[in-house]
Amino acid sequence: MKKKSQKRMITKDMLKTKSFYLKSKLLNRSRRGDPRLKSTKKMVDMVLNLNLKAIQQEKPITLTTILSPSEILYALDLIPICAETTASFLASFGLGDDFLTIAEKHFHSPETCSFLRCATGAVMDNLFPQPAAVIATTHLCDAGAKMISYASQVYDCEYFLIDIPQEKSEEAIDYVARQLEEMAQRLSELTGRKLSKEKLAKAIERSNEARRYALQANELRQSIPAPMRGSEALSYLYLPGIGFGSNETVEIYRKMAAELERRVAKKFSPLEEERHRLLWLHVKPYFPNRLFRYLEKEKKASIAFEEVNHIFWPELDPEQPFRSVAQKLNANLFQGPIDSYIELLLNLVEKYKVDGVVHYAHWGCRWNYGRMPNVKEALQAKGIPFLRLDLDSISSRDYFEGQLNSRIDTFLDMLS
Amino acid sequence: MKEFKTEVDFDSQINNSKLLSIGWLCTYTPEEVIYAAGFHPFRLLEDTPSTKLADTYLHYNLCPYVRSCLDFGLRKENQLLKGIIIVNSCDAMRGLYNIWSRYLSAETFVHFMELPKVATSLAVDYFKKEIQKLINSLEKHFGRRIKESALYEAVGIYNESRDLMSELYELRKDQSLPLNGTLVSRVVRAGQIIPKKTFNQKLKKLIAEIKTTRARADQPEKPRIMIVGSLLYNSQLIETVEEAGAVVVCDDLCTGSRYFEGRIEDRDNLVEALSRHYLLKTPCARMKDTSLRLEAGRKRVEEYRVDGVIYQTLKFCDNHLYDYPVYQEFFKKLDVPILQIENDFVGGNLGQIKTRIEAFIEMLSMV
Repeated sequence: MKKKSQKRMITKDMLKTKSFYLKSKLLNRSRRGDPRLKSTKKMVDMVLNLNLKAIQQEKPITLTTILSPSEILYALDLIPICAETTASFLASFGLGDDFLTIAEKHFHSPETCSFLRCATGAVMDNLFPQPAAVIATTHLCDAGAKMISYASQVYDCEYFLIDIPQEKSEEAIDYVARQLEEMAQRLSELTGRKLSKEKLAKAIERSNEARRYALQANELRQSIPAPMRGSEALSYLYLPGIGFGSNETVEIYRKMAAELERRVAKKFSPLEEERHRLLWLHVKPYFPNRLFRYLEKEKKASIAFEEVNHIFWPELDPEQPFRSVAQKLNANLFQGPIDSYIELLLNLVEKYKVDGVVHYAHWGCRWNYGRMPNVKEALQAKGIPFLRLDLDSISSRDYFEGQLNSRIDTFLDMLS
Repeated sequence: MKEFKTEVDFDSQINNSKLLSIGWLCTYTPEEVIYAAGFHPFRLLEDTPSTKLADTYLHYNLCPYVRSCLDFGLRKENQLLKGIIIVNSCDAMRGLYNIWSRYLSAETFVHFMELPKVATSLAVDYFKKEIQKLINSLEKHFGRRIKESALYEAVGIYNESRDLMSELYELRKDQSLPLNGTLVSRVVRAGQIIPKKTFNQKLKKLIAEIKTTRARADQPEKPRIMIVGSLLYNSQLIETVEEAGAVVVCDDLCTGSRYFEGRIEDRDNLVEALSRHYLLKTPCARMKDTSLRLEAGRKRVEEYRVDGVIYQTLKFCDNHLYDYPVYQEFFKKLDVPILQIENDFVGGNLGQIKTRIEAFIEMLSMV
């Protein structure tokens, strides 16, 4: 109860103060009996630090969509503030609906993705200082590019839209690489940050190092019992989203792999019991909720792995930074022919020895709903139980715990 | 006001054609290529759409137009439909491609085209390759060669059509003409569905009729409306606006001026010319540069002497929904009232919309 009342006391204005971040950093480090991995705490620390640096305007800021070319931004020593992860951050403080209301008052439709609508509210409420530029990529969804376009008009700043085709081909990679190079040069001019081959190569090397640790961690998570709670792992979306290329991301995955290795060696699991093993698709609700408590603690269902943590791209070439980053963007598992994605899912089902798949469906996410029929059919054809869980990730307005739990109960009964 | 009546029949049902056809959905599809391949290109745009069958595949929070197109495919009523071209215009279209290729590719050829969101020279070059891939893919699947001369002829026919539609729109600027938006909307709809040569002949006849039978009678001043947004299946919304006492004089719709604006001038390098034409035309909300749309809107307000704007979006169309706040602010600055309507337009439920439109027109009439 105490924790809840503390969260309720957080206000929008507090997020613009240095003391809020310093206090949050302290709380993140010193929570007693905290079951989280140290790497998770470190990741939360990274997010708080970036936000603190942003409000203090230590470095130029870029507002981006998730899955933007982060390696280039870190090479330029810029602060990337990601719209979608900012929304999840705000929702976790119970402020998601406040920012959604701000956007809706300014004629933003409540039917759009709430991650981006919440971030729009944050832009309108001047949560961040003026960015040097805003950046979006086109491969994930339409709404991201539109939200960033809107932000560029509010801030009256340059808008880079990296156009990424759905097809996975050398031609597409070349097309993206040339756009990235143009963007990097222009960003360098706009911010006065010098771009060099060395800086780019170092960012790529850091990205590769983080990737190697992440792969190790993912492999360790194949162990039974699960060495990590899936609900905790879902918050790592921040890193593939916008973290690769930074020193912190290397350190977080290094710690994660080491901690998981120790847990696996001891056969330690943070879950008391693992009655069912699940593969989780898409994201999660970020506002305070009891979904995972019910699933993991009460129903003893373990989320063995999440697609958002799958490392989908090959090792990058520091000698060819733009082409490499283009290749990474083009390799995204959420784009391109659905058949290769389904192949990957079936592979994950086997690797992580799961009994069923939960397809979390964030209301307003068109691409996720668009792929769902093919995913469901392919899994059912293989006899893999499938549950669609509709919920909004940011707004708690339509969160009805009882209904959600009933759906989970029915699904888990079927697995039994 | 004396209503202008025409003898020309513009009724367009998508299943009426007797030609082997290839369907398209997005106005960024280079129809000329389909035509040059010897098929009748037509837009999947049913007058009274249904989503009943499609709803078992696609969730209802996806674009109703896309769901209606899937429904059309699933009903398998059109035996002459030999293929479909799906362009990467939005999230819902990608979902449609996945489903169509999974469940309907045995009956129909299905081709997916990339479509840049930017209109740079790099993008024009990339889209040019996409058009070439479409040519290759049609040639391979149907075993027929698309000759340069056929493409040349197609561009000529489509240019003629564009010119005629532009001429019709020009006539709408003349306030003394009793030309209403309902008729024009039926014409543009037919332009997307019936064979192009037939359409061009009909439109020539209509334009001649309008020019010779000008009923410049004592017309009361009516509020002049521009409709902006995604697409309209039929003229129902425009009829509602006009029944409420206004006249629709222009639009920025993909079932309106965005379908035909511009023309292809360079006929030496046709594939590149097609790429330039489609990517550089007045953009849809899916494209990066919103300012071009706003500027085109401002020009229309001036040229057509627009009194009010109706911004209509299909439900769940993120691209258009995100642009509304920008439009709202822009037209507010121009002192042009704006009304937003968001609907699926599938169930024909216009009751509530009608009330809002009537109130809006009443407000404009008082100004």
